[in-house]
Order: sequence, then structure tokens, then C-alpha cells
Amino acid sequence: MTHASSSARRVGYSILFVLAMAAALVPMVSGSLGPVLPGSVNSIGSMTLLSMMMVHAALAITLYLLVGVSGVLTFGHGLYFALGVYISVIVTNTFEINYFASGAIAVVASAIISTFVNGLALKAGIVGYSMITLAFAEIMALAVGRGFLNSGGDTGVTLDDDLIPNAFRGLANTPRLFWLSLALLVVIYASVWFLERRTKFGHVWISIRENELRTEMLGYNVYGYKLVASVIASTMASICGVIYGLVVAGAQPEVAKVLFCLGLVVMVILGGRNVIWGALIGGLLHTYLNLRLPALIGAHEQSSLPRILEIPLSEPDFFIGICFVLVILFLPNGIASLFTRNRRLPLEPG
Amino acid sequence: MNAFILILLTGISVGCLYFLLASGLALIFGLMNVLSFAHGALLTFCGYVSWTVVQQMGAVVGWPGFFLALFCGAAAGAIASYMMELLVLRRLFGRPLEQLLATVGIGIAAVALMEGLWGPDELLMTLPPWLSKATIVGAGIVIPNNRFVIILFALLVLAFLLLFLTRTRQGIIIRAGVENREMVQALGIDVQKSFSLVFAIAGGLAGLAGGVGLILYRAINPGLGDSVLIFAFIVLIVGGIGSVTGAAVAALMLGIIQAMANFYIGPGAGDMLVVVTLAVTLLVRPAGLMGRKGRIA
Repeated sequence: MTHASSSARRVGYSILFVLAMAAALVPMVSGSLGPVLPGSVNSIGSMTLLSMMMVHAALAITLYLLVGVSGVLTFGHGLYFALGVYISVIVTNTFEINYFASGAIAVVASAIISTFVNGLALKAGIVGYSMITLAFAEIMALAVGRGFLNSGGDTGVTLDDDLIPNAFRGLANTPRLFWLSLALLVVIYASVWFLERRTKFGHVWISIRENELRTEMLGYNVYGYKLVASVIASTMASICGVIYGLVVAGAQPEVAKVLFCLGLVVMVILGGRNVIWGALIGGLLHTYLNLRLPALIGAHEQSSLPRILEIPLSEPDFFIGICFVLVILFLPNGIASLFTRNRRLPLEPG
Repeated sequence: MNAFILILLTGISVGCLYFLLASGLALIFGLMNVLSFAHGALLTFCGYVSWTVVQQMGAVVGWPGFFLALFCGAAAGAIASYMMELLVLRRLFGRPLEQLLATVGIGIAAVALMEGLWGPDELLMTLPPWLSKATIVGAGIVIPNNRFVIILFALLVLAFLLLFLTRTRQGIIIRAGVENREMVQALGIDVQKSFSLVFAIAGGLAGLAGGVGLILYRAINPGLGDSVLIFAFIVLIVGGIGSVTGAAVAALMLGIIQAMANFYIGPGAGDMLVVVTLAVTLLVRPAGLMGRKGRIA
């Protein structure tokens, strides 16, 4: 549901196309942006940072399919990402098979688990759903924290160097990981856009978001449509997880934590839940702040900051949390609403 | 036998902790349809307040000092919760989903701030010496004293809460508000006052939960509240969202299941089993044990 005219939309697509093309050329740039990036633009550190940002943005876009398109608020979306990362890394290490083969196993497993979890959780109301999905995500966090199934506990699992596909092994191939992440982002963005705008499912999802009761009355199986949306979104999330496992060459317990799951919702709402590129902005920005804010603050002289400011600024989550509350209070449609004329308030479930 | 009774009492103690957090959430949700994700952070915050008060008293803590610390924690919780309602949630009145999201943001920010202030590592709590000892009950059954205190504590809170809800004017207004808020408003009663009161009470309960957490684990870390919060959510769903008695029953049940399985099956098994219980409840009784839409007590 956009109010933008078709010409404005065409401008939007052109901007995205140019952006994607420009992003593909980033690994060729050797200049420096000062403290904005950890090194020169095509240094290993910057490439990894940018790759992680893009994978997280892709993940946020899969969540947009639920929160933005279907109006289903889940707090357990990180579960499928974590499953994607952990299963593909552990299966590769254990059975010494091709990383992408175990990635496929991870995606199938996530889809099955998602069908089960969402099938159950959707039986509860909208608030119950958000709590139950979070509870299942917590199970993953607990299992990983205790190191079940060789998940390594607090240290996580490192992907065996010999088992990383040749094309992506070693520091010299970091640009390829960057392109892989960019490709993931483009594919996920296009798929979610297509699902929302060009399929019957998309229309029904939007109608569920706008008025669930009316959709039900029209004879649509709301439960079924929500379940399909959840399973598609979770499966896409696990694909993001598979790529992420390759980007960071392992699985770290941070991605299984509840804070990570909440962070995903923050990304979508912060960026703006009404438009798909809101999730894109939110995902990029949230990940950047999370990974880079401490270093940015550290770039200034620590001693020049009073202690009372030092603590909040060295904890990116504090800064992000406060921004998030302010956005909800004063900018309900997120950062994206700064760039559109669409001021429609987000709808409450009717 | 010894182990069995010990684990049973541990389970009940953990259940008490869940109940203190879940009962506040049940009250808030029953009256305002708001789910507070900041409640875990609130528990942690109150725990840190109590910890700091005790820390000021030196190496040995007596009972008066200890109760003063618990009281400070509960008061801090009530004030913080009231401020949250006043400054943020009231502005989003009638938009439960936005309110829920706002509490998520507050929770994330609060936990990060506490990590900055008190450090990410676990801090050990000084307790009155009696609490760290154990009592021999009957033939060779040794029970740590803290279990008794926690259970007594929770029983008192439950009794107080039920008395308040059934015997006082404000309590009756809150219950009426849960049944039908519009009707209560139409009778000329200021429901807004009840909202603030409920938030203050729930904050105080979270503060007491922080104290119970300190007694039970003898330590505190920034993630304590959030790990309890997840189980409090499960307690809410299993008990029936919005029902205080349901929360009490479910908290006891889940606490015992969790402690038993963690001991007899293996560490971590209890946590999984709690979620299995959640799944079974959803399949068999989707509204929860005592779930009738909009009922408390």
C-alpha cells in the first residue's frame, strides 16, 4: 500500500538499482573514510563489517514480511537465523561435507521447526504469539549456552578452515564474501518485494494486517496465511544464517541470544515498518551502530568525556534502546517516514 | 529422599520467583492489555539497588539492614515502573502494540545501562549469616534456610495481593476495570489512577522478585531479570493471561517441573521441559489453566 505515484516509484527503483551497482564496486575502492570504517574502504575489516551489515539487513527484510506486511509481531525471528548459522557450521565440521550442502540441510530443518513453532504459537492471540516465539528462541539460547550438540557454549564454533569452500577461503577472498552478502541482500529484497506486491499471498497478508476480522469474514483462512508467511520468512532467515556462518567463518552464541531477536524487531521498527526499504535502512544502521559505535567513541579521547557520558556511549544498546523509544513516541513510522509523504499511522490489530 | 525434598523446595522457590514477576505482568495485562518487556530489566535494577544498599553496610548484614535493602529495592521498582507509565506508556494510550514495543526499547536500554554501571560480571551478594546456613529437618533431610524465607515471602505477597484485590476499594476498581473498563469509566471512576497504581504495584512486585533472586542465587548479573522474564511469560500463558491465581498455580507447577528435570534428567532438560509444557498447554487448553478472557483473582 503505497501512495507514491508510479513515476516516483520508478525513481525509487532506479535509486535502488544504482545503489546496488555502486555497492558491488565498493571492494575496488581503496580510499579511507576516517573513523567511519575500521580501515580503508577495501580493507579486510571494512569488508567484513559491510558484509555483516548487509546480511543483517537481509534478515531484517525477512522480518519485514511478518511485522510490516502481515502485521504479525514475532520476537523469535532470530531463532531461524541462529539455526541456519549453527546447523550449517556444525554439520559441515562434523560430517566434513560441502558447506552449502549442510546449508541446505539447515534451511530444510529450519523450515520444519518453523512450521511446528509457528503452527503452535499462532493458536494464541497476537500478544501470546509474541511471547511464545520468544520462549522458543530462548530455548535455542539455552541449548547453545549449555553447549548441546557440540555448539560450543560461550565460545561458539569455528568453521574448520579446510572445509570452507575454496572460493571463500582465506583473507584474500574477503571481497567475494562481500559480493555474496550483497547478492543475498538483493535476492531477499527482490523476493520479499515480489511476494508482497505481485502474489495473491501478499494481498491477503496486507489485508490481514489492515483488518484481520474482515479478512476472516471474507472467507480467507487467516491462520493458514499467517502460517505460510511465518514459514517463508523463517526459511529466508535461515538462508541469511547460512551465509552469515560463512562471512564470520563460524557460529557465535550472540546470534542465539534473546537480545539479538529483540534487536531484529528494533531494526524493522526503527527503519520504518511501512516500507520494505525501512527494514533495509534499519538493518544497516542498527548493525553499524552496534558494531562500530564503541570504536567511534573510542576514536575521541576518552578522558575528554565526563564519566556520566562515557558509560551510556560505550554501550551501543543503551543508545539504540533510547533512540528506539524516541522513534516510537515521535516518529511512529520510523526513519523511512522522513523520506516519504506517507504519514499513515501504523495500525493496531483490529 | 533428601535430594527429592531439596529439589522440590528449590522448584517451589524458583516458582515463587516466577510468580512475583508474572503476577505484576498479569495485573498490567489484565487491566491495560499491555505486556511489559521491561519487567525483567526492572527486576535486575531493583536487585542492583538492594545489592548497593547492602554493600554500603559493610561485611556483615543483619536482618534489619537486609530488610531495609529489600524495601529499597521494592520502592525503587515501584517508582521506576510508575515513571515508565507516566513518561512513556501514557503517551501511547490505546495502542497496546506500540506500548509493548516501547517497553522492549526501555528494557534493552536499561540492561545496557546497568551493564555499564555495575559491569557485565556476576556480583556476589552478602546475606544475613542465617540465610546461608541449612536446617536439618527430620532424619537427615537438610534444607537450606533461604528456601523457607522465599516461600514464606511469596505466600505473604500472594495473600496481600488477593486481599488487596478483593477487600479494598482500589482493588475492586482494578478488578472491575479488568472485566469492563468502559463501564467503570462511565460510572465516573478515574481509571487512569488505577493504571498508575497497577504499574507501581507491579514494579514493587518486580522489586521483591529482585530481592528473592538475590536470596536464591546469592548473586546478580545484568541478564538475571531477562532470563526470569521469559519463564514468567510462559507462566502467564500456561496460567491464562491476566489471571493472578492462574499465574500462582502455573508458576509453582513450572518451577517444580524445571527443578526436577534439571536434577533428575540432566542440566538444561528442565528448561526444555518447561517449553514442552507450554506447547502441550497451547494444544490442550489454548486459553491457559485459568484463562477466561479478562479475569483476575
